[in-house]
Amino acid sequence: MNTAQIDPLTKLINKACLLDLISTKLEYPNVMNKLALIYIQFDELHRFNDVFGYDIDDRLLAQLSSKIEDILEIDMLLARVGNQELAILMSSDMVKDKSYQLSEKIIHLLREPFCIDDNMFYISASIGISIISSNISDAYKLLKTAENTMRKAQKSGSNNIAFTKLVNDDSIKKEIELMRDLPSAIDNGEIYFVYQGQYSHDKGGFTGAEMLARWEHPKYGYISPFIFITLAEKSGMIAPLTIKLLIEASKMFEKLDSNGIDDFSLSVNISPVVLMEKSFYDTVEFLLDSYGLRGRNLTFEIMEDTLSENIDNFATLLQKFKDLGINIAIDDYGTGHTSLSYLINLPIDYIKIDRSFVTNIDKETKKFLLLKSIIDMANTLDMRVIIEGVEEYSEDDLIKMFKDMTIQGYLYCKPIKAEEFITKVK
Amino acid sequence: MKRRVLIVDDIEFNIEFQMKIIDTITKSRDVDIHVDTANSIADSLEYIDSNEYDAMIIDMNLPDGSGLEIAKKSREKNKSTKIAALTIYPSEYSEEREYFDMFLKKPIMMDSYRQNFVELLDI
Repeated sequence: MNTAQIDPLTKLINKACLLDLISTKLEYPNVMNKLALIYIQFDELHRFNDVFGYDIDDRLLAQLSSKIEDILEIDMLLARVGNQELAILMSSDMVKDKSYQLSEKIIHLLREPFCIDDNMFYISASIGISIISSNISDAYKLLKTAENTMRKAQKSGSNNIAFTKLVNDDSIKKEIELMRDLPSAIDNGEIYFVYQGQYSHDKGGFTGAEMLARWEHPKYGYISPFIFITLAEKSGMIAPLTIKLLIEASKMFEKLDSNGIDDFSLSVNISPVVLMEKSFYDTVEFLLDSYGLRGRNLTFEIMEDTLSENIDNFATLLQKFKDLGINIAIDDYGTGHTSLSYLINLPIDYIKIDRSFVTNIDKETKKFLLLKSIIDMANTLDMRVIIEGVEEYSEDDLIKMFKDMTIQGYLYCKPIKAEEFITKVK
Repeated sequence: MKRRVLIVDDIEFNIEFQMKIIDTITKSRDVDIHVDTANSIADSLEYIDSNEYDAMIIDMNLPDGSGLEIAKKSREKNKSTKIAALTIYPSEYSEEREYFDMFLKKPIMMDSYRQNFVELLDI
């Protein structure tokens, strides 16, 4: 590296050199690791100059860059990219988490005052992070996106962090293709449904199943439900997909009957987009009557985070479905910000405790106690509990201590097709 | 009031769904709707030869070709039969509009199907 590439004040590489390095990294991408650029702008360092001396802003910047350099990992690179701006280039397989954690560390660092000539200075900053999701080749675009993202964070006040994910043209093309193919995939059965059993310790067997959608695309193969459900919500296809799901549920109830499996519940995920559609209630009523679903043990699963955003509207709506005989479950409980005591205003039959509350309960006492308190609270409020994501016997052994628990997890049943599921349950 | 309708679709799920919607229409209005169903062009042409239809709802993407062939045959036989195309991509048939009285979007949604069906049969 020559002296023209080094900033004389901070001894960090400068903007031109950083852009060169990014370009090289983009030219030879690492398949496992994604790139992120953290853009930091300190707020008005020059404001101290009038009182404390003409070069305080420079000295502060030098000290700030040195402190930040101290907390960087070996493969991270710090550069000076502007008058009071620094940038960190990093790559990792978990780049979003790592870049965010690092940004938080930097904000934390700024909570302590900086000391120059026995004077204390409190500094604030705004941080923008841009992440490259696949092979974009424009280094300048990455830097500018990080800068623009930082300005977004700035608007929310000092010491804020914002994210932008850069998506390349191929990903956009793929998204457009998937969106175009979605209606025929729903129509021709390319999107199909699998069943994940729910196991009751008390009854010693499966008492229900959650139905999950899967898409095997002829060109792209397995498409994550997270991707195609989001696309379906965006493109108006979520309602037909939900109708198909409910009709499939009616067929499954018939299959269960003919195999002598009774007193069995089926759960279906209902997107808030569908739930809020005016015609959805009429459609459900039609399906209950026309497909023999009325009186069946059917549960609508609704994600907690969507409920917490609009709890008053949902209370009336959910009651209408409950009056049709449908059970209501709160899905992924714990991922939103709703206290159980607040949920008491909703007509809820089940809460499904998110896997994050279950993983490692055998190793972390606090986690186990937290799970216990949620179960106790649910029992007090007369809600049944389904525990998601149980994957280890050691976790399951602890859960067995609680009465009347239903478990949904790979330990008992991974999502499988209807025929295989019936054989497993029989 | 009696009506005879032909529904053409190769996906059993879609035929069943349409039949159930039509059933609710029959129940809610004073009308007796007889429905024949076919899964292919070949089947449909046989039905058309031996029956008179008030309306047809034709899936455009069939295993033995395009639903357009059925619409043409029906028009030849009886111009008064109302014909609806059932398709994901109605714009692909913009040049063949003369053979159709209506385009219905797939996947089928109960409300719009019911409304369009009533309009197609004028009941």
